[in-house]
Amino acid sequence: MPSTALLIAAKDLRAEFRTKRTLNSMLIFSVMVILAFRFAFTAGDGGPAMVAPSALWITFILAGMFALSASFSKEKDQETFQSLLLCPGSRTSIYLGKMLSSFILITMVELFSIVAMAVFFEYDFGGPERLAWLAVVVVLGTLGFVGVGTLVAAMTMNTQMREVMLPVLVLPLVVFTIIMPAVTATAKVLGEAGMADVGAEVRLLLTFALVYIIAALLLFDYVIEE
Amino acid sequence: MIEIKGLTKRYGNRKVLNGLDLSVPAGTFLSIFGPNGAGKTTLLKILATLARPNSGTVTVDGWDLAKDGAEIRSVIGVVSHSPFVYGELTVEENLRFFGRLFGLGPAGLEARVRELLDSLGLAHRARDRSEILSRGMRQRLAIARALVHRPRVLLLDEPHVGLDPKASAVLDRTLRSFKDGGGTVVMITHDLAKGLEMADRLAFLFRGRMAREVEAARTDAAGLRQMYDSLAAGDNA
Amino acid sequence: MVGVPRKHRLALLVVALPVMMLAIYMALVYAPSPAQGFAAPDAQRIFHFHVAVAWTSYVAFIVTAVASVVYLRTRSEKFDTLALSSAEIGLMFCTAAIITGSIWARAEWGTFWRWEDMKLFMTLVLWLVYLSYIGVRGMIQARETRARVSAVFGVLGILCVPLSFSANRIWAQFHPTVLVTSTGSLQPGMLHALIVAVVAMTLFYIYLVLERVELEGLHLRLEDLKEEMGDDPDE
Ligand SMILES: Nc1ncnc2c1ncn2[C@@H]1O[C@H](COP(=O)(O)OP(=O)(O)OP(=O)(O)O)[C@@H](O)[C@H]1O
Ligand SMILES: [Mg+2]
Repeated sequence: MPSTALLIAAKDLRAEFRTKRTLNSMLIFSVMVILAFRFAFTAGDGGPAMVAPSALWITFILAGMFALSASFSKEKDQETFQSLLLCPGSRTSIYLGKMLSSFILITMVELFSIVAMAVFFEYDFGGPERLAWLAVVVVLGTLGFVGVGTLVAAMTMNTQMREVMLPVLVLPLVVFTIIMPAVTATAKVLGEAGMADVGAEVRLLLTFALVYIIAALLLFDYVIEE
Repeated sequence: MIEIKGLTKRYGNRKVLNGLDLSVPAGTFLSIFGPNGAGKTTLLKILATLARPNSGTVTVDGWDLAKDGAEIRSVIGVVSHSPFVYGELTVEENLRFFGRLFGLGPAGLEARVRELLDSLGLAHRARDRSEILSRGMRQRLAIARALVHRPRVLLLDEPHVGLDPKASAVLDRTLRSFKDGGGTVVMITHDLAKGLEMADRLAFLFRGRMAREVEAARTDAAGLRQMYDSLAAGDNA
Repeated sequence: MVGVPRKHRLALLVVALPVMMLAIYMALVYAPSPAQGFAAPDAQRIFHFHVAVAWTSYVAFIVTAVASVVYLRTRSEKFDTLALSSAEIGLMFCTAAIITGSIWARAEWGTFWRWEDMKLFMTLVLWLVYLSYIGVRGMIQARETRARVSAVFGVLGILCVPLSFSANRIWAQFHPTVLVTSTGSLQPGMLHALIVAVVAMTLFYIYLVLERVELEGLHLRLEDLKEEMGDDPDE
């Protein structure tokens, strides 16, 4: 990863941790969603293993929208995006930097949500193997989501009602490609009868993440030029 | 230093720049005047690689704008209407960030940041977040940001707006020393007197073209006013 | 202005209308009812239109994606106009495909929707993507930005279709249900009716796109004129 991308990601995270505005709203939001799922589905509905995977991914994706949208709207509001465009590095390193900082922020919230889910749903992971596979699925799914989401967030930066437009544009792109395999894989990993093989889903998630990131690298220049 | 030939920029069907030619030799201080909406900011954005021209050729320091955007960006510094700095970061953090983006190494960077903070009178605010600075202070930071990588060309869009006389004098001093160091400056301004005072050359941008260019030494405030008014009268006709 | 002269558009309509009539006649009267293997043989007749509109909507979205790529390469506004027009008309055909498909499915399978059916599923993905495509266009005022951003989305949208398709195969395995294929062997009369329906819908699509292109051309000119008069185009 070029150093410009790392510098931009480090700058984003430093600015974010100074105020924690985005992070805090993401954390509060995830607790709310998980609690809502906990009380909307009661014991009769098949137990936590049925609800948890969808609850988790809906939390990840919706909370993730905050990070993606904030990442660009902060630059837009302060007009600092222009100053990033003025730096000599290639413009795709802006994409990579933004992607990296959003990825880190979202992964932190995901970690927190998984803990919250385990607590509220009284879920027992019962060993490191499940946790390791869960981590693989979460990381790959998030990578694909952030990969395409960062591109779309840059697109919506110049639209009206960008907070609404971002999910409207991202969801049809990720609902079947990222959310569906990720939920399936998560359900297999957390299954009550023990873990099932998730090799196929993991390969799929990895492929999609790569396809989306490559497409975004090719298209990003068009999105940000004026 | 800057060579522009037949530059055209359209937004939709409207031609904002219409076959503009301009040549700025190295070491020149050029002031550009023109009415609102004439295309001055657009011209500057194109030079800064922030907007794509529709046709025409532009070279900056020998680099072709169409191909060598990154090289051009590394030799220019830009000051615009808004300061382009991060409110959550402190003054010095902003300067460090931009310095590193332009490839300054850690040792040289610290020295450069100190130097700029001192010369622009920002040293006592170095650790304040830039969002709590006053407008004038923020503008000084914007100027420091534009200079941090020792550019050879400065592109300025109405840099004096919002500055008090003292800050204005600080800016003038900074620009003069930049020029004395061999730098090239293109400054857009609506303040005819200020433009005349600072510049070697003056240019008038009307309706997307350079309507007239003169040496600053060949005119005075009254002559300049007259020139501007006669161009503006012709523009409205 | 872009587009095709009014005379030619009318001529196309004059050709398309009788073909459409013929298609209706062939689907409802000429084609035989399927002899066996269908729960609701006469409901099968809607299938001619269903296949035709679905096929046309795929063509329309491919036209949008191709026009988007060409726009990004050439920056010529007429390709953006074509991309928009084809997306709108395509969405209309796609909606018709989903509705006719559901009617048929209800009669044949007793349910409006089957998640395992690949074609239904792909059609739904396309429908969602191009609905968003049209949505985002309404949210950008600056013409060039609008064209650029929506072209990028047009490309992303078509890219997402094969990806969604391969994801769905895995998902369908995970929710095992009786897999139903929606193709059967076609009797000759049905095949003829189907071909005529596809031709009719394609002609109709071309006609509608040309009209839409024309309309958009006028709309853009109006924007220009208002701007020249110093009006804000969006007031
Ligand atoms: N992104 C854009 N989209 C559409 N039109 C634009 C855009 N940017 C500028 N314009 C138009 O281009 C013309 C020139 O604008 P520009 O900002 O270059 O003028 P200017 O000479 O800097 O004026 P001012 O003195 O007011 O700063 C204006 O009519 C403006 O409306
Ligand atoms: Mg301006």
